[in-house]
Amino acid sequence: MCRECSGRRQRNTPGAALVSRRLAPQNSAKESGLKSLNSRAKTPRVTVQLSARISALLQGFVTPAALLAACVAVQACGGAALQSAPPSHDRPVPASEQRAELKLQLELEQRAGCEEDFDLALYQDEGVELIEWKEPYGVCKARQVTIRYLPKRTSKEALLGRIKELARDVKQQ
Amino acid sequence: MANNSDRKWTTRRRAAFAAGALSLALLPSLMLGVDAGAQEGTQRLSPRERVLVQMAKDPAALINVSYGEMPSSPDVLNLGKRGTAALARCLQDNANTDVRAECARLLRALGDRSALPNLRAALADWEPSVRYEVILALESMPDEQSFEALHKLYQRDDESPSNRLAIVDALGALGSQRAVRVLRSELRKAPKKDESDNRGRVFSALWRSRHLMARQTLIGDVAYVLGLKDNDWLVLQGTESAAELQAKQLVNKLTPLMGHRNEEVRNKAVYALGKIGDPTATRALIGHLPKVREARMLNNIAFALERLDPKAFFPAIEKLAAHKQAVIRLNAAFVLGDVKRPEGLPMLEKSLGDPSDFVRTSAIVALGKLAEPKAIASLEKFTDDANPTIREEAIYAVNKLSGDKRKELIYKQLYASKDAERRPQMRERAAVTLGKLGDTRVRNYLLGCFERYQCDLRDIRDFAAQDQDPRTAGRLLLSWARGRSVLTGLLGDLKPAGAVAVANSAFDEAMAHQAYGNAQRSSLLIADLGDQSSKQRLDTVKGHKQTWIRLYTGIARLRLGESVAVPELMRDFDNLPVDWLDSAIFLFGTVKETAARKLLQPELEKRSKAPDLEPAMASAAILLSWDPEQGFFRMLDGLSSKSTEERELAYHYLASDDSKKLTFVMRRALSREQRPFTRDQLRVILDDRS
Repeated sequence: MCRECSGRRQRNTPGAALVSRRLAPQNSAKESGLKSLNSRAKTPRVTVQLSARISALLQGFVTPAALLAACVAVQACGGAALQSAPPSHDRPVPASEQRAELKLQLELEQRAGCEEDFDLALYQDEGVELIEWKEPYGVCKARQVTIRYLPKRTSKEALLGRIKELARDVKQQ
Repeated sequence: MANNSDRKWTTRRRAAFAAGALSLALLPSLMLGVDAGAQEGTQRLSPRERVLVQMAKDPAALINVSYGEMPSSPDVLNLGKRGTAALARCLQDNANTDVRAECARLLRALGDRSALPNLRAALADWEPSVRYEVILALESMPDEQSFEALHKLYQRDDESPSNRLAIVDALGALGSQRAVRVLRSELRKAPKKDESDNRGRVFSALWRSRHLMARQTLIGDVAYVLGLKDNDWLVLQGTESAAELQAKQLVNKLTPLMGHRNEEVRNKAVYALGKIGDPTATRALIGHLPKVREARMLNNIAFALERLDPKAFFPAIEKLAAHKQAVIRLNAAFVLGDVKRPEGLPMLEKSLGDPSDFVRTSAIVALGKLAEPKAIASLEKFTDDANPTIREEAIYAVNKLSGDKRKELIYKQLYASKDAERRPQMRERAAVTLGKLGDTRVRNYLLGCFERYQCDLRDIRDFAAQDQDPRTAGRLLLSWARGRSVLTGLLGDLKPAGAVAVANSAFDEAMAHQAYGNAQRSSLLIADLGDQSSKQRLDTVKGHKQTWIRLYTGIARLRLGESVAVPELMRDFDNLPVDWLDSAIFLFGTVKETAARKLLQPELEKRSKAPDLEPAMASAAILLSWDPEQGFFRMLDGLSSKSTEERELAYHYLASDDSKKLTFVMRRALSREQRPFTRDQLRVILDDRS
């Protein structure tokens, strides 16, 4: 009823990008699940802990001014390093690299966009090459899926562990 | 002996001299004869045909041509890039305004960049209508070098308003930093009194160049637009852009727009807030709920809330599901169905007892979407309801929740019952559903429905593809022969008995009557059927004057194993007007045979890296259709390119290819993408596919 269907974009039409977005599905329920799934995703936290011995050692040598200068230098270098690193993105895997497959039946959490949410989360693992679902699409229960992965980059066990976190039930086929 | 040989040699020399002299004497007459013959040949042609023949050879062919003598557009485009020189010259030297405008239009359709210098020069044309066509052509062949000329024209006070708008579009297409500066400055200029407000077009153009801007600058521009009070269209564009950018900085600008006077703006603002997903919007959305007076807005807020804070969503929707007004309860049930969360089950079961038939129907449909089999028990009693709509929806919901195990209910109550005979739409829906489930009892109904043009192919495709009865394929073949071209691909898969003979004869007949569309579809079917006996008739049209006949039959020959077709095909591909590239992508996409693909693949890969972006991306699109996994990476590069044209082409081809595998691959790319604008585009394409 409220779902607004999208029209295909006209190529080389002025303002076509905006037109297409105007017609984009308004209530794409996908995003709904995405948010909650992302909130479940583990965010790596890096904490720096100095041992008491190192702290004592530093206290003897480091004046506040030197510490400040070091902090600035470290930040500057770090910043430069961050700036020079190009943003990462999907890249092809050489055909020669070994592949393996997992055939599974999954029970996903019942909500709109469950399939896409699962994909977006699992693809974070660079060892996953393709998640191929069988019909019926848009359903969360009893979904047949083939997951092609790269054994050099991820192990079957690690992959299954991650899948168990993302799905309610996992059965190997 | 010596005297004899000398005499012979002298005699021969005299004879040769005499023959030479005679030839020289006759040469003028011979030349006149040849010329007369040639003239007689061209004189048989109509004036338009004569011009067309000349166009391919003589750049001056269109200089003295009137509008009535101009060949038709398809004929000109059929020449491909061989017509460019004559069209470019026409733009400069033809005195007729309409002809010059037509030449510019055709140059745009051809997309041959060698015409760019002439097009730029033609911006000085005295006629606004010609300049307009020229500007459009320059927009479709974006080039940084066009900036100066376009900008200069834009700055002229005497340029027509429509041309100025067209220039704004063209500047947006250029992908030029200089154009971005001009557009940003124009965006900030409020229109003077009695002047039309072009800022909407300016923003559209700027948006096309968004990848050239720092993200914060772009967000600042969108925020500026969202704050405008005097241009609703521009504000609407701002909300759409905000939804794509998903920048938290825009939440404060979007929140007040929930109460905007324009319905579109209100709804898009809510949609954008949901997409941004910032929790600060939750309170505003919940606070706005009681003020809502339209179903669309209610649904948008519900979806936004569900994304932002499911815990806040369910209490809010529960209130709406129990609202005093039926229309609100109905919409609440609808939303619960689309959200598909099991938490909605008790609310929907409660709605099954609603006094309104509409609310009950909405709740039944929603329960069918929840995929909770335990809802079957509550739905069962409605399968005999006195209200036919409620009954129908309950039966479909029960069948869906049971994993299609209750299809007999559909057959008995919705297809074969007396009630079904009185309700043709209900029966048709039942037949289509049963057909998709492979129920052969609806065969006659479905085929008849299709033959009467009441059902379309998608209604019967699944059934026809799995039905083993040869009568089905036979009837479809008959329909194809009667002109249902839409069946070509399906028949190619089904390969019914007798199809080769029918396809061959259809091809012969079409060529005899110059019915080229029929010849094309016949050659598609011939190729799908893969029968070698068809080869000979395809060979007879080698070098045909019609490009599409050469291409269709060339592809068919290649698919039947004729590797020599490849150079001919690629020659035609290289010469195609850009306006025809989409059709070529479809045609090349029909090649399924591994051997044929192997022959074409290196040619297409080479072209996909060429600097001329239209044919390059078209080649990449063909490769994408063959193998989304491998082909995708060229498109991803395109989507991340600095060139606006390349980005837009990549977007277009990714959005046009609806293969499921491509969806899976794009999800992978989205998950790993860190370039902000590329990420935005992937998100938009994936949303469109859902």
